[in-house]
Amino acid sequence: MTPDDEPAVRAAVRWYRLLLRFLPPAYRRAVSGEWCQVFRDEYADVRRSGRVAVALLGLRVVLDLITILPGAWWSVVRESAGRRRRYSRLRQRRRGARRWGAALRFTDLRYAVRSLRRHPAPVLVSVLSLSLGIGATTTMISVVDAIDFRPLPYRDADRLVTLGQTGPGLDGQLASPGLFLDWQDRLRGVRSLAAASPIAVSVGDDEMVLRASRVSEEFFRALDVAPVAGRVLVPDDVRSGSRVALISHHVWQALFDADPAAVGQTITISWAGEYRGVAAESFTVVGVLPRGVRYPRGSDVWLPAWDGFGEARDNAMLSVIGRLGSDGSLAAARGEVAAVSDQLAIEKGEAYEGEAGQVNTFRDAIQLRASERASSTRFLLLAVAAFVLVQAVINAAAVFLVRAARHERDLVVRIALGARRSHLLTLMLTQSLLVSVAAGVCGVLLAGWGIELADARLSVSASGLAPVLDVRVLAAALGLSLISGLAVGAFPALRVGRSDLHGDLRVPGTRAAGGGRLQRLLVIGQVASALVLLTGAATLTRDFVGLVTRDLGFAPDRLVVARLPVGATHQDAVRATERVASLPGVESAALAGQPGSAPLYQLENGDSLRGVPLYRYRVNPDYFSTLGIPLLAGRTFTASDRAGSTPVAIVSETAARTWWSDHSPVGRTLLAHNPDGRVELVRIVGVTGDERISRDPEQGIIPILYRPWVQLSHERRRTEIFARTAGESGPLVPQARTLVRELRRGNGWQGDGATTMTAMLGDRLDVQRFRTAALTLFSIFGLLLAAMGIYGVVASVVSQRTAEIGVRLALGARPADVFALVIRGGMGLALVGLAVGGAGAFGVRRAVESIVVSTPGLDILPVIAAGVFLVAAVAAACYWPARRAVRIDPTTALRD
Amino acid sequence: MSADRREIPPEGEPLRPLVFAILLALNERDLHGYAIMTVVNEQLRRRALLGPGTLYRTLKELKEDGLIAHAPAPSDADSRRHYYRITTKGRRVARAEADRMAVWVDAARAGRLLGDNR
Repeated sequence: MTPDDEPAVRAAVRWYRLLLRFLPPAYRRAVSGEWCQVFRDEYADVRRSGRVAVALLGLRVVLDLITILPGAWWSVVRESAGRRRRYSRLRQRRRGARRWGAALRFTDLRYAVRSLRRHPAPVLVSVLSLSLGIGATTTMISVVDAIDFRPLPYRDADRLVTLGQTGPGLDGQLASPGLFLDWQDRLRGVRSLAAASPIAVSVGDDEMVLRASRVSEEFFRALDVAPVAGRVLVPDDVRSGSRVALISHHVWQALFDADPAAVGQTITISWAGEYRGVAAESFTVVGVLPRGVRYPRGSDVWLPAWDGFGEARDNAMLSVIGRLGSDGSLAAARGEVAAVSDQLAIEKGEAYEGEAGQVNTFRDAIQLRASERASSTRFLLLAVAAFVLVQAVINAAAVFLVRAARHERDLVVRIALGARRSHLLTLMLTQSLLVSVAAGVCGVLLAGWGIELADARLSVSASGLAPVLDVRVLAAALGLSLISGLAVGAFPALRVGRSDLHGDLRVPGTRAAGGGRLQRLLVIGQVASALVLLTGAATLTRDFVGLVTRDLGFAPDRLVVARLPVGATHQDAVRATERVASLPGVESAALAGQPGSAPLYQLENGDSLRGVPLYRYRVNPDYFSTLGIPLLAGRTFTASDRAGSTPVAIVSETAARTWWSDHSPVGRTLLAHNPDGRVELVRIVGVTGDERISRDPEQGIIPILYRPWVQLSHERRRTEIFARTAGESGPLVPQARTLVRELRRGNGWQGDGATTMTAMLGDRLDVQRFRTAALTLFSIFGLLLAAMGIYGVVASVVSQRTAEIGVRLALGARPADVFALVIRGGMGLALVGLAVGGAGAFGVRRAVESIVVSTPGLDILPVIAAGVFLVAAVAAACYWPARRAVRIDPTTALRD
Repeated sequence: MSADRREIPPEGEPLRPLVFAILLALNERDLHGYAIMTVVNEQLRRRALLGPGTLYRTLKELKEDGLIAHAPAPSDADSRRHYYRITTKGRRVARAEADRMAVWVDAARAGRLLGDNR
């Protein structure tokens, strides 16, 4: 390889080299140099003709390799055996082997192609089902590989750690700027401590909205990643406030067509945020990060944080990373962080008390993040995909078994004329490998699309780990297709391997039923696995329906949600709510937000409300009526709950049960320690029904404490306006969006716009919808394959027993009896399959139930439903052969 | 009845089309692997099947049988490329094959299989 080769050519040659690994090492060493040279030349030629030509070249070299593989291995095995023993007889056989190897050339491949073309329909079904199986499995392998196995692209990734703040509402992944500064001052065991804060930017004129990160001086020293072009950001960039940017591989491709000359070019980046007055600036691109590096939070652009992050302690928004010193361990770092938290609490008092820190290795941290959405789902889907592949292999094996039975006479004649069994085996394996490799190529194409889909639905990239179709995954796909091909070919090959083939020449046609037993076993396997898949799908579907239809505690229809810019002031929010309420078609509008630095609450008996997850909301008086949350006791907030009047609160049903057990909390008081040091008594005036407000639809009910909007100090936090409309809520969305945009435009704020509550809830169910849809699709596919398998068996039984059925009919059997006979044959297989699959179905249902929340207790319904569905499908598959059997004409059948 | 292989002239076994095409390609000038592949693919119009593996396996056999040999690379050529040239024996075998084919072509013409009357 020379430096003048382009990256694409180099990548292709790497791929080819990987392919050549299937050759025996000695053989490979002798040939790989020249072969690669030829491949490089041809690739360079072909690639100008477009992707299809490249794909064809890929297919061709794979086929080329498959044709020579057996001969290559054979020659190496024989040669080493010959060297070791030096038997002249062996040498003679080696010459035979060479002749045999020579015979396996175009003729074999041509024979395979021709013979496959003779009955194309079942072969096509095999290719399709195998490609679906390979595509799905490859997709999930890529996802699991990205999250769990692929080495991180950072040098010495084991020493890379993340630090985060824990506490109520904090998951230990982010930290406040104030805490970060303290850590920077005091931590000794963690070097190169650095932070990044997220910011939404748009790049260029086409308003490509991207996630960006503003990073501190040491960020890339800590991350230690080599750029694919240019350089990373250095401390000087931050200190001098240079307007330079580092871009992700994705942006490099989208904006610059992966042109290395992108480095040094200028792009316009605009952002909005709490930094008023700044709208857009020109940045010089200084480097490109490798594919897959998108830390933190799926960033696409990295900018120097020239003005720092501030010193706020109430806003955990920084992703903090660092490196363990060469002598430091993770445990030591954890101890040190805990010690710093204690120190701070002692030195600075109560306000710092809640600030515990957490240290995780980098992989653990991003795995945690990725797992939020893809955790158990990725393994479930991988298992299901592998299952589909197994089913496809069984189906294809059945198809090839039938073909082998049909060609048996052909084989027998070949053996009689002196063909070697080994050659016949190779012939059959060539056929099945041809099918599986074709399926592998289609599967990889499917996977390319599937990976994008899975990534989008499971939000894997956002964690900083991007699933890609790289060499590892391609090798896995190739391996899968070769293994499938061998497995598919093994069944007919087993039959060829049997020694009693000679007899068949004498009595032609009598052995056609011989493949029957194996074929029946395969069909039983298909039915069993279809039942397992169907049960999984039924369980997930039920869970999904449960999630969609469950009681949220509020009425989600006819509700519009508008998210206000983070920088909106108290007056802005109130005024915006009034404007929304006055829009035509709006019945009422409510205002709700998270309090910034909320007071710490204490019960009358002195217990703190800390330690249990608790949502705290500040809402306006119309909140409960607008969302339709029922009042269970006491009253809701009114206009008389003003700033300065008696502090009041409302708690949710679960909160009441958690802290006051059976007694009504109405009239009780809470002690509130405000951040400014004031302590006040808060009176509980009402209890409302629970609402499920978590972003994670599978999370249980969390206690909520509501305070009046006006009684808490205002801080720039997430604020939402809810509007209940009289009719359809859809038409209001654009108006609400305009309103939010107006607020943003006037002030240079950041805001997410507006949507309907139903759409928002729908988005939250993305993961569930994706996995339910995938499993349902796969199980229907499995069902079809099983039905086809049964149809094949029953139809071939009918055609073999034509004469027998003719005799039965001639002797007076009624058509109904014959019909029942055929149906019984098919149903018998189905019932055995159901019995076998039933056990597996209960197992899979358990596995599925462990990842869903609903369906408590043992529930046999999905299994039964799946079974009934399968039996109906099998009955349909048996119907046509049975009808044909009934219509057999006795005289014709007997004469033939 | 079609032509039986045993009736083929005793000068030699008929060559496989791929072998003949390679010898034909090398008869004009020395070529490197990829050039052979390009020429042969054009001759055989079978682009879909000849890959590096098949090509080099055949080249190896031809070398072992003494029909072709390594050739020195031209001074301006890429040093990574190996060049091949046809040997005297190779030329003889190729000519014999061409003669054999010519006999059949003549026969086909005489039998009015070729030309105007099909």
